[in-house]
Amino acid sequence: MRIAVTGLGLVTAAGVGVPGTWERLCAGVPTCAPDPDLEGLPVPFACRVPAAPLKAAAPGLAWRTDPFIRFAVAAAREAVADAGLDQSAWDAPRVAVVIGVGSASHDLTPKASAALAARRFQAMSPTLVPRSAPNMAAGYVGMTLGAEGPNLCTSTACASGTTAIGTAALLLRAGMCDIAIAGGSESISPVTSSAFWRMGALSTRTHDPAGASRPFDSDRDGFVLGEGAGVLVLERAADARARRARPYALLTGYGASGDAHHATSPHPEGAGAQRAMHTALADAGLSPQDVDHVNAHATATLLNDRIEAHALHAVFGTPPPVTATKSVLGHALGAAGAIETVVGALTLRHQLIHPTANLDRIDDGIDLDIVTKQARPTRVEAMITTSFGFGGQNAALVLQRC
Amino acid sequence: MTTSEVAFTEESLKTIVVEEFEISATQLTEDATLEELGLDSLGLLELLVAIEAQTHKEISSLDLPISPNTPYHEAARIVTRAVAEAPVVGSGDLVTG
Repeated sequence: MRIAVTGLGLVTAAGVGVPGTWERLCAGVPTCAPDPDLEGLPVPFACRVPAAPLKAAAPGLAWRTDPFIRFAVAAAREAVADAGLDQSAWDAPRVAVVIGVGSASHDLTPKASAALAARRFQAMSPTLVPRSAPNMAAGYVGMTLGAEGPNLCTSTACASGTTAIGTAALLLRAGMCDIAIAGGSESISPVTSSAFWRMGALSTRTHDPAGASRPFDSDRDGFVLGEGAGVLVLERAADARARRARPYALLTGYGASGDAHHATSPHPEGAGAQRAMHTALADAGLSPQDVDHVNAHATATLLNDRIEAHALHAVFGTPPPVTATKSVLGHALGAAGAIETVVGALTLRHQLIHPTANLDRIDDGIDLDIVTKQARPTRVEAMITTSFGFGGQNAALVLQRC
Repeated sequence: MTTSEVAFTEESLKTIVVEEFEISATQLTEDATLEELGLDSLGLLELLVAIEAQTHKEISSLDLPISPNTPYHEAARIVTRAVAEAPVVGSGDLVTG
């Protein structure tokens, strides 16, 4: 059963709204910059969502929610409006919400910890639990839009958003809903930044933040934290046709796998990644030669990029043109896969692959056709987007032209 | 002058409500209830905690006659009186929100 992507929404460091992010990606200009909130930390830069447009897009929620919830609400509103759906007329119990979130946000954690240490329990905010729990992004999206169908969060680390979209497609296929609002969301905190730095995962290119996120480049030294949300409206293709919607793309394949190998290191051959891609292709009824483009996970960590390139060769032989969205937007963790799926849908709509930024010299051990310097007009009938998370949790989605 | 010596007025409350809860000053009409302003029971409690952080007085444990259905101005009178009458406890800068 084919699923249509009928609406898109984005909140990224390039701004609130799909057009601004797409424009920024096609220009290939990184969003990474010094961040006042991270000043004095080992890594004082990141790709942050600008505050002012967010406040306008998700008003009145700042006191009770961490930013990832507001990102999801803003992106979901945009996606539903983009799909031309009327919330006052839809069959609310048949509208599902699945939003992937990597882990609990930590907005008030430092203050709460300080209050606990001082034994001043009354000083703890009563919003602590519902403002930060990963499931609350989907909860608030449902509340804001009046969606009364299945409402859940998928949490598969950096694959969370991709897993959410795959799960939403399964709900549609199973007949559990008629419309699914699906995506991923994540926000940055000093806790997150310091913790990833401590394990050696982050780029420390402090002299050149804009050049810090360098997927596949020989000079890469880790990933750059990003944040935001990507949300898609999914419907069964027949339903979309019946209401004369104009889909961006068809979501035809979903594959997922577990490495069963290590907490934070990928399988050395990328075996789990390969399995997820093969499963997604089989689900779509495609062979590897049918795929015209890969939107790679491509975090810019030393090991992951190399293993991912190896896995792509194992699956495709000679892989089709690749791009790395994280070079411009950073790694938005649980939101990344959803943002990249939105980007995939835009790639199919515009028949244009955005360039990978900061790729000056491709790593010797990586042999891929990476789109760089400028956007490349390409005939893309089918593409695959991949996400690989801690815990060895992998997901891949196949999108095809309508 | 310490924080505790500064009188907590209805104007002080208005500042918190406007700045921390994204409620515009024009919404604070005579008959708007807290609920109508977007402050449910959790919001009311969060407001009391914010006041405590600023005044170093514990008012959230006083069982004040306020609910989300209380009109804003009545709530403002009750809260400012409670702050005026409560003793200062502790200090430090544990600001919420």
